[in-house]
Amino acid sequence: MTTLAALVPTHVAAAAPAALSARGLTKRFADVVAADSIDLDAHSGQILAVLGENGAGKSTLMKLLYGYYRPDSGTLAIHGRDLELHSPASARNHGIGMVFQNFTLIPALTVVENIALLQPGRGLRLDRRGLARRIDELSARYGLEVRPHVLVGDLSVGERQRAEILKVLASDARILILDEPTSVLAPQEVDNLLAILRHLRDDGFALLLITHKLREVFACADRVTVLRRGQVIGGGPIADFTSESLLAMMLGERQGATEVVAAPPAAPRGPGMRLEHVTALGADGRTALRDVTIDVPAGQIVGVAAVGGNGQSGFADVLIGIAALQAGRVELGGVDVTGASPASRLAAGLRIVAEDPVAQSAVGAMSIRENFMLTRARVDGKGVLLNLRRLAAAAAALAARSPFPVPAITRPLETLSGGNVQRVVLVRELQPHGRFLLVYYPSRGLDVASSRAVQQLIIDLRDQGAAVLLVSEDFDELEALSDQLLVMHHGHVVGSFARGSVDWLRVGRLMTGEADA
Amino acid sequence: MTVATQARARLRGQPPRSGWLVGRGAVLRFGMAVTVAMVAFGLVLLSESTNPLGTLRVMWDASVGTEFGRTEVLVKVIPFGLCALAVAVPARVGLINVGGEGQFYVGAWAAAGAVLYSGLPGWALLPAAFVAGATGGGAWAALVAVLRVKGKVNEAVSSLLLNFVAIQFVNYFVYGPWKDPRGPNWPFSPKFPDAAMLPTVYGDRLSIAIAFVAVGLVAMFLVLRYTRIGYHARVVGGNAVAAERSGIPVGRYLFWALVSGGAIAGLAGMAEVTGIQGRLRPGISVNYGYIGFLAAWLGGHRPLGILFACLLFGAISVGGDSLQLALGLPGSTVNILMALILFAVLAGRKNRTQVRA
Ligand SMILES: Nc1ncnc2c1ncn2[C@@H]1O[C@H](COP(=O)(O)OP(=O)(O)OP(=O)(O)O)[C@@H](O)[C@H]1O
Ligand SMILES: [Mg+2]
Repeated sequence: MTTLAALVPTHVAAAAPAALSARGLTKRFADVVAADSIDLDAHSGQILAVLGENGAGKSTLMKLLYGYYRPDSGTLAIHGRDLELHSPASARNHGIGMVFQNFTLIPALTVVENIALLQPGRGLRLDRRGLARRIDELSARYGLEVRPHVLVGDLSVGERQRAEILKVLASDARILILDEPTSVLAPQEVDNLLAILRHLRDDGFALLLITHKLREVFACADRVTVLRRGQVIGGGPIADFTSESLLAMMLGERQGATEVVAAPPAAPRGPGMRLEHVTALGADGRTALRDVTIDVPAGQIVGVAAVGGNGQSGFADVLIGIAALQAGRVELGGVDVTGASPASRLAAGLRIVAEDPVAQSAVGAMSIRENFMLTRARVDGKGVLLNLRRLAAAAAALAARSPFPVPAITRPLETLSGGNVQRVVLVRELQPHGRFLLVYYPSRGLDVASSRAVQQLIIDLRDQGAAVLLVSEDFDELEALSDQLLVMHHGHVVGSFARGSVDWLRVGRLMTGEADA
Repeated sequence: MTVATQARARLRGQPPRSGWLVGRGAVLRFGMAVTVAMVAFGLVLLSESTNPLGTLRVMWDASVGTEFGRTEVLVKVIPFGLCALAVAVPARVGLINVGGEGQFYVGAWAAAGAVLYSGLPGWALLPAAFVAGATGGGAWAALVAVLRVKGKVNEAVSSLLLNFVAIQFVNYFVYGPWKDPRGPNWPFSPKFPDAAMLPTVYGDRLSIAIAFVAVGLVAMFLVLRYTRIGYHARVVGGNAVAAERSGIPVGRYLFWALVSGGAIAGLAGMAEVTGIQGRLRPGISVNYGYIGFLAAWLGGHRPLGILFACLLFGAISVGGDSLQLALGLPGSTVNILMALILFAVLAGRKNRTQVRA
């Protein structure tokens, strides 16, 4: 088969054949066609941006290219030669590497050990020294700064991201697939990463980049391909497009939801969430809140800007009552809840959109409906039996009220796209009965329209009197929503700005510790 | 390791939970896996220069082929089913209980103690043995549970180690204080009075304890599906961090799941001494705890799956007993077959650990 195809190429590209090309790729899951006869070409020395709404099929397509899924039909060719991928290992043997949407490094191993895992057939012996040298070379060449002998669990998010890329480069990949690499990064880190990607492109790598941020597309892509409901809906050289035309293509007929939202100023309405001189260890036993005093009045949104790992993760466990406080007190609605159980705080109206929804607030093996029930069951009282009919009706109503489409509620959560998991958690936690909201990265992984919708939802809840603590790395989002903006560094609150008087330059310097409070 | 990554590992490590009883397509895969295992077992027999078909024929005749055999299969389903439940209940909150064997022994010991030394009137002996068996097994598991919840000691390791302690514990009593003073010099406790023997429901060996299995399996199904604690338990098993953040007292669920499992294994021990043996002696469990472990995993920790697995293992086990008589093969040969089946099924299971994006 392969030899015949090599003798008579089926699709001869004009000059050089594409580094990686797909023809008619199709992948069906039980009731969705996630990839529908997709054609795609990625060229060496170019960055191809793959765009599309949540659930459009971007991740599925990338996993097909990486041999993680076998296509139901369709063919792949690498540098013009037909090729069948049986597994990620065979993709790696052909020089294809992938950085997944959620990280895949093993936290209990060092960077070097993680990278060693992917080394093709070097036998059982681990040549730590040689590998470390190679990692040093690669990281110096592309500005991928990591500490090779540190445990991955101890790295910052940005560093972990760089380690993921190093892992792929060290396995001799020349075709790089990156699934939403920027969604977990702070703005400065994004710029840093885009510079690295451009450098790789100039060195002749073929790159495929998934992102929801059009700014990033225009900052580095050479070509774009837009997916909608599993199909390629358009694409071409980036110069042929504007933000508006790309958005229109992604959304199809569902336009109009994309204007930038901005919260009108609102007055505080009494006590909301209050942390008073709180000092606490984070869930990982390291990152700490250090003597933090924050007041989030009802009817206000307080934004928190911080580089990942500066203590903002600690808010969740402190507010819900899982972390033991070393000092300080916590108030909800003017009532001291410092010693109260998580259940009673939830009953008081505390709601949390978790930093990592899959890991912290959802059950992958359960259906969307059962994940919705997690809130209902805690609200609905204490009877021995669940009122399954009422819970099902409530879940259906919740899905119907959602500001963005939610997949069929009987689907197991683990079959949803990254953005759809985020939607499910947002819909569940951001309901009218929430009075105290801690919201992490609400638009992370969401497409443009859904981001706007969730931002509007948060504003509506504020206007209904909720106290909102908003942790985000998206400056535009913080600017648009926050009535007050706090900056955190090393567990301390190092800056505070009122709406309309935010000095973003100073915020950036406070976040990185370059400026003093 | 952060909580998040632990949770992710947990998400990945769980057995499939899509269906309530058995998953879709499970029956087919199950059948294929059993066939593969049978063929592999046949090869093992060939290497022992035994005729595999003849062997399977002997096993079939001895178990499913005759009425006596079929009853014996059900007799085996009692310890297998209860020991499998003892594994499956904790498994649903994400715990691995390898301690069924030890909990079985302690349950048997406690039941025997209640029968022989409580001084209760005859009518009260069986209820007392029931309560004692469940309490004994549950208390034994509670050791593991406390270590796990308070001390974060891995429950698989501690429960396994306690098995050996439990066996020696029972040995101490039957070789020492509880040895029948009037019997021959064997490590047997005195024989139980007739009033302390479980009534039989069919033939003279199948006791009413088969109802414990039925009730246990149905109760497991109903609790998981229809009750608040069942739902919470599944959340704890699916993602402990999410459970904790939803206000579910995770530690309490872990504790009680293990204790319930232990109590069920303790009942298996009680059923053995009051249904079959009529006394306490060493070696009352023929690896029941471990076979129950295999059956629970084979059945995907779901009631109907467990039932099928126990019937299958029951048949293999009864057939195996006959190998010794008919062909002079060691009876434990069939343990190879059970293990092969489990491996084949686990290997054939759809890969559900997927990197999602
Ligand atoms: N393993 C699976 N089983 C069933 N359905 C799946 C599976 N993986 C993906 N899907 C479905 O296929 C469709 C495409 O999913 P995919 O993850 O490719 O979307 P995506 O474009 O990456 O979205 P996002 O921007 O949210 O990450 C979705 O409807 C998703 O629910
Ligand atoms: Mg995706």
